[in-house]
Amino acid sequence: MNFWILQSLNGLSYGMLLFLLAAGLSLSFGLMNIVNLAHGSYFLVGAYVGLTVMERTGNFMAAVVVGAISVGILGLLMQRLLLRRLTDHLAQVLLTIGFLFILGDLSLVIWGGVPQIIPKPPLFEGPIRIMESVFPSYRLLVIGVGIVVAIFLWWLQDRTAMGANVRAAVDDEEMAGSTGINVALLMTVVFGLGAAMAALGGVVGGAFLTIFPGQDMDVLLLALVVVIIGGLGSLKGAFVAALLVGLLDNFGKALFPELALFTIFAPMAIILAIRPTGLFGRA
Amino acid sequence: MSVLQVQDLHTYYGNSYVLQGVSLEVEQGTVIAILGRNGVGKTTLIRSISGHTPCRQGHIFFQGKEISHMPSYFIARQGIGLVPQGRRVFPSLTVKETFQISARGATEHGWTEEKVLKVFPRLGERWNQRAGKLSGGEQQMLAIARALLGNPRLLLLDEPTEGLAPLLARDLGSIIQQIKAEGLSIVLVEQNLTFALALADYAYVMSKGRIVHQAPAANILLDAEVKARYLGV
Repeated sequence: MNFWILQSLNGLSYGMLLFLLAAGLSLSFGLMNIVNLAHGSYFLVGAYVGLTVMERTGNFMAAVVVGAISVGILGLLMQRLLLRRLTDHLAQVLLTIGFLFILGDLSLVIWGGVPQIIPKPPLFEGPIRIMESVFPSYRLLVIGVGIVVAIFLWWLQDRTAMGANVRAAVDDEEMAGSTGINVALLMTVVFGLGAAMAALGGVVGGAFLTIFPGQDMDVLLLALVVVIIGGLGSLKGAFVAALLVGLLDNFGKALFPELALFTIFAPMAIILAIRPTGLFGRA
Repeated sequence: MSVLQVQDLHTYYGNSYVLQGVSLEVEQGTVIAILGRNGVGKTTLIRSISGHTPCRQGHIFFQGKEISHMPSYFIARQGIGLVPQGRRVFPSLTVKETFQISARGATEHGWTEEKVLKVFPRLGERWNQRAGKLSGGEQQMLAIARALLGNPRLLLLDEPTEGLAPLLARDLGSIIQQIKAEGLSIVLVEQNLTFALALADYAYVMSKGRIVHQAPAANILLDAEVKARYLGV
């Protein structure tokens, strides 16, 4: 019994990380038609920046904020200066793979090749006891953060003027422009927000996964799966698919370790066969 | 004084040479009609003015300021409102949200939400509906409302009666009269000759990417030769 509850918790918390990561990827791909293979690098660089801030200050909140903002700015600059000039997918892929390697190698130079872990905030270091079971409290915190971010994003998209502007631009970019909306600037901001969320995932995840060179590609792969299952450009899709992939990945590794990737890709293939645009994608 | 001056505009659509030297002028507070058969470049002309298909050569002056290579949001904010062909409302936005994102620069006597709703009371009844769920006529009202809320000095109307029932088209005509009475200048592109000439002060006739005839609207109505040659009437 305890096995199932604990593994579900692990799967859900991992799923929340994937959501933080995939939300931005889904938006940039689905809304701006930008294929960004450097998105996993935002996660990794965010985690490393968070690690350094945590080591210097011992303040986990500071690690989260500095990690997210610095990577958010990196994303803004990449989109503004380079990516938005490229409309061709092949050019985007080549450019962002370049960034994937450069950012990965820079991280290796700065932070070294030894796997590291961000110290958890003291309040959430230990387990907590609910009824008869013992839960790692940090995992619960991660799930909480994921839910809060999901609600925040939904509110931003559905209840604010900025969200209405973004939806207008997605519906009809030209007419959004003729309504006086500076679509290019709006897209840059959304892209930066996506990068910052990936970094947030990196810092939060860095405290219960290890951070290591190559993790950028690992998480990118899973984030792409999440985006494909959920449907391009759909936040709801990213949320549902992230939890699904998180749980599948976790149970797959726990129950059939030798089939680990199969437990993710087989369901993806089945979902795509039934719904080619993903669970919540637009046709 | 002229609000809009278009000088020798040459615009390409991909490889096809669509506008081949178009010049026209819109006087403050007047309605000009752009007439012509399908595919003569009327919509491309509108797209060049609104910044969607920038011209390759030529000039566009709006209130004396060159706008020919400005981004479309900048042109909109300068005071050019666009009601595009096919309405192109934002389907996932409600009427309310469309109003919110379109409202810009309203002064006391400008186009406020209340004033626009007075012209289009039907939109008030559909306030929380998504634009994609509105009827064709309602979408056309919303498309005009969206442009008015930006408080433009010049309104570009591209085929506003397309797909509307005759009765709705007549209503639309009186609404455009009302808008004109507020002092707005209007460029009206239309296939519906009677509709356009009833509203316009002056008309330009296009053929194969050029202006081939221009005259006060009343004269075109009586000009059997122009009508037969270029307008297929």
